[in-house]
Amino acid sequence: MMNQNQKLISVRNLKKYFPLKVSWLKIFKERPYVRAVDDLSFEIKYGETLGLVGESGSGKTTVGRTLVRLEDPTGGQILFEDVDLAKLFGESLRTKRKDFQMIFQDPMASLNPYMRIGNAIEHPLKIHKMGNKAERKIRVYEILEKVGLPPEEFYNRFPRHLSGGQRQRVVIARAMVTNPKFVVADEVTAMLDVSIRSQILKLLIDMKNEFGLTYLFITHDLASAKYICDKIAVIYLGKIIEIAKTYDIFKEPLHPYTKILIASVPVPDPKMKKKKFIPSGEIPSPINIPSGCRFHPRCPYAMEICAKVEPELKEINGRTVACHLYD
Amino acid sequence: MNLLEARDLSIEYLTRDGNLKAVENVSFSLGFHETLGLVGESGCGKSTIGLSLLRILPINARMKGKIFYKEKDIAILPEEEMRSLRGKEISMIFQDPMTSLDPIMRIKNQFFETFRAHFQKMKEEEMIKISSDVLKSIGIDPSRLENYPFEFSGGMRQRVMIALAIVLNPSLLIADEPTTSLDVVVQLQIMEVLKELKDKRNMSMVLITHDLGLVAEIVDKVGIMYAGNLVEFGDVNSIYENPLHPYTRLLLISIPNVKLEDMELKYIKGNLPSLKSPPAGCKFHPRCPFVMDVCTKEDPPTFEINERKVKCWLYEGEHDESKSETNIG
Repeated sequence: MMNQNQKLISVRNLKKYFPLKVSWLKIFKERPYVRAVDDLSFEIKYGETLGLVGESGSGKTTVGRTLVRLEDPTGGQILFEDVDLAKLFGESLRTKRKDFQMIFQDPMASLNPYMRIGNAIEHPLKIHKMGNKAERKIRVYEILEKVGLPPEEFYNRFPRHLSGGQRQRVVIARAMVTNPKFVVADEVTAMLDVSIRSQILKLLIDMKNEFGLTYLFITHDLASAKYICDKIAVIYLGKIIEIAKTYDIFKEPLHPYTKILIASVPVPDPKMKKKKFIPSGEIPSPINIPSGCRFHPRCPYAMEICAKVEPELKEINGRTVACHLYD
Repeated sequence: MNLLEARDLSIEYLTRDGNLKAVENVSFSLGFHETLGLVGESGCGKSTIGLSLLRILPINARMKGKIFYKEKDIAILPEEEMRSLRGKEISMIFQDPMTSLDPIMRIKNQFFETFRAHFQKMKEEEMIKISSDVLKSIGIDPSRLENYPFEFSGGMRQRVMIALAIVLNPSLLIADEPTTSLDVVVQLQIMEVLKELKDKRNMSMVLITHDLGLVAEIVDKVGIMYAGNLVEFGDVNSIYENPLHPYTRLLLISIPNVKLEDMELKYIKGNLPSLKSPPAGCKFHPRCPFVMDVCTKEDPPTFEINERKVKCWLYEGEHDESKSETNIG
């Protein structure tokens, strides 16, 4: 493994805009876009897990998909070691793909229902022409063992025979089988029951320690992120509004939105009936992004300046936050 | 008198490869203006119970036992009478609002449908007035009655669902995983809406969920389900303060939290049992840290301890003591 302090991924000014359909009569006017990811920069070091936390519609999944080049970025750089993934295409991108993998939210939708578990996990090896038939089978057995599915029992089964948690284990095995350096895990526990959720988180942590992996862990649930992430970036309408070490985020969240996210996690205590801080409204549409600070229409601390000037993400006393409260 | 009482409720699904026992001998009761949380993992039978309360189970389901609603047995009520209860007396909201709303019908017309099912001669102005009031009370602008479901966000759609369910002022609202497809902030908003219904409209509720953390603030009673059995039942404070069944204890400590002093990931080992060939004895025994010899052989009965019920062999002795205590008291 490489030096702990070296960067594996460094994302600079990443943008991803989706054009909207417009009537041909308006073709000479400015084209409206969904600005899903709007000028985002962050770094992930070797062996680190960065949590990307935000609500539905915040652009967190688009960031993940763009990083593994399932989407073409509209602008910006994605430096993976020394290669700019944003500029790769065709064969050079395809051969690089074995180094970065993605795990999706819904394990049923990401497994081919007609493919046996063993074949599904072997598939990436075939695509990247890794090993011969016998070697591939050994590798699949090995990885099935690692994710806690006894190979003899599961190799020949179909996804429909498996429970949700077991399916998610298969998807994790498939992502890990090519020995990637970097894995994007997109809401991997959202569809699972609470008791299974922690099992899968534990598995991800074990895999990381064993293979020296680097993760981008995408979630809307700060509580799950706490257990697995070294750092957490909070994203709102395509922009990072706070980024900090996990401990600092929970110890003292700075941005009002981060505070809201933490306060929204349900507490299993019937005596906690105190009035919580409930945010009004919902995340606005990324087509019409509010002026100034994107969060100001929902922010309980909104000031005059917030509606006018967009706060920069900057460092204040060792913490990084984009909010006028800390100017 | 209880508003709702289930006695020895058992529900089986007939399938091609054998019968599946979804619910087994479940008994619980719910008073007026009370909220019950039915908590368990996927496949524990909690949604099946929800559906049985409205008698809208799939056709391959076979139901045994009694369900009393205001002292009428829902299980044997003629279909005609049952239909007059649905929506007006008992109504239900489901997990995924997009699949429960008609995608090609304006919200307005979906309200009208509900009204017309019970009051054929109701005037349109009146229907609009009532629907507007309900929408407003739940935080949606009445002008949106003209919209289609796709024009709403997930959270807003769930609000519309709730509004549709309560527009006829039912006495009992069944909410089946009402926030599972929503994210944390919106989840909190929807829970707040439900809490208001409970406080302001005096509605009784059955909240079905897999998340013990979510219901703590809102319910009065909790029933914990595992593989078709009600393994623990009692009032909310005693269950959270002093969970009796090992499964309840494990469920409680495995909820991810935001406390910094608690960084260790805890979870329940093993998987849920198959309902077609459940393990012998207590169904939780393969995952239970306190497993004893008897657990692997015999299914535990439900013991009653100070108005709480627990289905676990650990409480065999205590059962008798508490009974003698209550006799004296």
